[in-house]
Amino acid sequence: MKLRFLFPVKQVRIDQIKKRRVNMKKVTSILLAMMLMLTLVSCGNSSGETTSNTTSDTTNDTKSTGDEGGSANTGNYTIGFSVYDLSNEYFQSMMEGVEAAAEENGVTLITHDQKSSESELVTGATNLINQGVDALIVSPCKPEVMSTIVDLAKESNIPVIILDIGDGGSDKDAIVVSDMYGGGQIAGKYALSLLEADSVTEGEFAIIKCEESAVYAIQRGEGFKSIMEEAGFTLATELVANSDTTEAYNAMQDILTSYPDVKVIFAENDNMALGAASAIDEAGKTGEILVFGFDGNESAVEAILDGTMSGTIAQQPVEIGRLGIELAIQRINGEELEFDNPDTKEIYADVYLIDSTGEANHEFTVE
Amino acid sequence: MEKKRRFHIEYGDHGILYALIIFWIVLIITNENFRGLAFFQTILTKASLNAICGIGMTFAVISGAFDLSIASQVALNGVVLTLILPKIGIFPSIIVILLLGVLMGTINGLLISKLRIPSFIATLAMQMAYRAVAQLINSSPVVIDNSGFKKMATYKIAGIIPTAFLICIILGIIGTIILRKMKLGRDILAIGNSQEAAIISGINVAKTEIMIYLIVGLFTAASSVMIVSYLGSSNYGMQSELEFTVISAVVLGGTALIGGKGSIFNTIVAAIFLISIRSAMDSFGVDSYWQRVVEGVILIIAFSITEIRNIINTVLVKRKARKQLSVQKVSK
Amino acid sequence: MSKRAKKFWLIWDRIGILCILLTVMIVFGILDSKIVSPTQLLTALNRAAVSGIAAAGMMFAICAGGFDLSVGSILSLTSCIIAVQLTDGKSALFAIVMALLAGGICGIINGLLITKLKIQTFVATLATQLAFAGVTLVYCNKAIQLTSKVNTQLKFFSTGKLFGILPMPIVLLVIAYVITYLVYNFTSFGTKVRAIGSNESAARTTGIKVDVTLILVFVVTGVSAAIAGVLNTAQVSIGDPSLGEGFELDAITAVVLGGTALSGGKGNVFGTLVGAILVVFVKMGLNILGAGEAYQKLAVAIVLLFALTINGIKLIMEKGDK
Repeated sequence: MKLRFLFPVKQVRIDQIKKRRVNMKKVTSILLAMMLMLTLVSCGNSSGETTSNTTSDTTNDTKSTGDEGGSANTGNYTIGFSVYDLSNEYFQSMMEGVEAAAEENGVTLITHDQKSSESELVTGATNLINQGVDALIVSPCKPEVMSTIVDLAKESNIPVIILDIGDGGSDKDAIVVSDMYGGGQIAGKYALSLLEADSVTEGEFAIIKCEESAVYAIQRGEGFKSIMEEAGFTLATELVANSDTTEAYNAMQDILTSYPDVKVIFAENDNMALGAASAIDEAGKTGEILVFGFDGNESAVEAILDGTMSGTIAQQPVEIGRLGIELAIQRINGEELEFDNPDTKEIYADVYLIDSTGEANHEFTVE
Repeated sequence: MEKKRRFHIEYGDHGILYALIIFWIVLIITNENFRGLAFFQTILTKASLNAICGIGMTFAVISGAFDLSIASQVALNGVVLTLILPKIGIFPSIIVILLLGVLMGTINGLLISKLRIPSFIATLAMQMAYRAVAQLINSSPVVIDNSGFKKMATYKIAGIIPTAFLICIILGIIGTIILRKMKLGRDILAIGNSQEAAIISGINVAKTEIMIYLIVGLFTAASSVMIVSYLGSSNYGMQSELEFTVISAVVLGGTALIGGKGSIFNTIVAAIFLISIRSAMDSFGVDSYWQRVVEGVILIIAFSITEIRNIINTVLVKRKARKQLSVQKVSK
Repeated sequence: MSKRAKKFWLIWDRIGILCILLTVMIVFGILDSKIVSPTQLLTALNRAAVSGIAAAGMMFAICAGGFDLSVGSILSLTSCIIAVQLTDGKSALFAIVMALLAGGICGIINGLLITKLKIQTFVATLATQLAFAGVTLVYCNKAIQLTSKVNTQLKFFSTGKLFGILPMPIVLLVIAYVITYLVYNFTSFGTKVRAIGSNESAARTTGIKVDVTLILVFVVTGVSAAIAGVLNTAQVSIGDPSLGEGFELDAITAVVLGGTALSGGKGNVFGTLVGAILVVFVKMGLNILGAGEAYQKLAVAIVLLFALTINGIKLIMEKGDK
């Protein structure tokens, strides 16, 4: 069935069009190309914000990793960094760390935003590799494509450092991970301590989850669950809110309907926690129900100070970013890396609790 | 004069090709990155993935409709593909996926032609359905072990021509043959022009409509195989922005949304153009937030280029007429 | 088609979608009586307000023969504007006015692209969806929590009760639909929209200023998206640049379920309202039953297909008459 779109039926002057056809086509195609270039170049110059990019002074062919002889001569190094999605506060912080460390070490940095698309990830990383970077740092939106990227990088002897999220089983040079499971456990322990202070030793709790495909973030909920269940609390339900604030708000309302006596809520990221907190607030149950998130976003800290959230687990994106650059430089110099877990080439970045005072609280840890 | 006019018309609408070539030339001059062959190979490979799907979509748009379910079809194809690949090998898997694509296309076609559900809605609903089925089949991402399969998308023949691009060209030729030389293609064009007229001239509209979506499903399946090879993995949530890129490529290529005319070649060129824009923005370091704005603006300019041309045309004609009038006045 | 059949279809056009909603409610009620309790129904209506209000605006666009795919981005933009203004210390009234203005401006941009540059609505709004999203990010790239200091006035729209008993979101929803009904059926604007949707060139010949009307249509869609943004932000207490992602599909689904023909010219105001409520209800019911999101997607798809199949049967029977 045909859809009738808004395409007006216009009476065209046939002879005019025919006469001008080829000429106008050439002219307009040139026009189009020119307009594109103008837009691109002007936007490129007016950016100057988070993404830095230099292409002119770094066509170096030094892709090798060892021959520089371990000197601290990083002046000629170019490192490419491809990040999950710069519209997300967490990755903005990570970018800050990467940029700061790059500047301090005199390294030229080329950045790329995947905008949460796995095709962009592969294409962007391929482009960086083709541009001849000395090392590649990636915080992947879909870790499962890393094998392809790592294989490609290996062909050009480019070391690959993965920051957070996951390695998708690839043979990277190193991965800096935050302990998702442990972070959830920390939240659980803190929750228990708060409940204990109120003499609550049993009851129901619920988890609001990220989308199923975020296999690494899901570990946060699992960690929380393990601590709570061990202490004798019952899991009322686990609802998926797809990392979306409004869906979490809706899910929280539904949880309140089915389980009005729920005591603790753990949301696998701050966006969702804030939505849930708002629902609880509207139901008048702020303070009665504890709400925890994960990420340590500014917005979450505001909510904690406001009393609508009880705590969140902060990662250290800035540190992770810095570490990425440092590890990359080490690998370019051919140095062996020190791993926290040599089998999986993992280097751990701490997560820590931000408690109900809005301050970092390092009392709660996992063994 | 008569002969010249006919000659011009034969050259037809290839403005997008000129624009692409000029764009590339300007890029090569102004930006170092574009001077490497590898860069163009990447663009061609990535664009081919979208373009193959675009070949199928061109048929749909020619008939005056869309298929919004392509991204979910790719996801479902991908999930099934990674499931069966280790068990039955590369070629049997590809056949299975192509058949799956045909199946999904036929379902779409039946909904649209037999149940008279508007294509927009039918494919919108199936988009949700196929994605849900993909999630139910496998909610975890799968990484492919089969290195031969993965090579398909990135292998470069004689080190120069990307396989994906070659496959895209071959499929494009097949598509064009269907469109221009086969009765099916002519029927689709006729339906796009005017459904009533098509019925009157004896075309079996219902059957042709099913074939349209079957073709979309088939080419989408081919595209899925290449995409999974490119990514080396599958994930039920993959490719969520595919409809946007493919439909933009089809419309940019000049296939009018009211239907009745279209060019597969132009769709492929437009797909390459869109990917070139993205790569160019990355190379120029355009801030990623502004990239969205720039892409939107560029699409707007490109979609409205006919109208901009008409406006310029009218202005020029008016000026000419005014001059002639003033000359006449003077001479009087 | 027999006289009885014709009568049936006439009735179905008016209240068909309502019948589907009632059936779904009964089924859910049997499975879990909590789902159809009065408080839960109120919750559903509150939730439906956001997509419902945007759907009302979208209905005009679809009646005129087009779409507005940029409503999601407009919603995100208004959410950020409100958050930034409120945290800057401005009053809620100011923030809301700014937000509505932004929605209107986006609508004007859409309208101009479609009328002056003659771009098809589908691709024009596809492009502006991207552009507006980019602008939103440039304006505000992080989520901004609206704490109780700044939030009190805005919260009224989410939790406040008019005259002490009527929840504000439902009030806004009802007002929106009453206005839509009146405008659609009793103003010249409504008639013009329907005329343009049925046959644009004929409308032009009758002297209707098509361009002006179309721009107004998209302003309406933009402003309704902005209002939806105000409501949504009030509910979740956050200004978030990604709040509206995927929202346009909810709005379009509601309109289509309501029976508004995609070819333009025939709008169904009441149906759109019911359609919005239906989608929300299905998702909510499944959430309460604990069904995963995959099943929720399937359910909405099935409802859509079911409603449209019935519509299709009607079309087949009508065709048999010709």
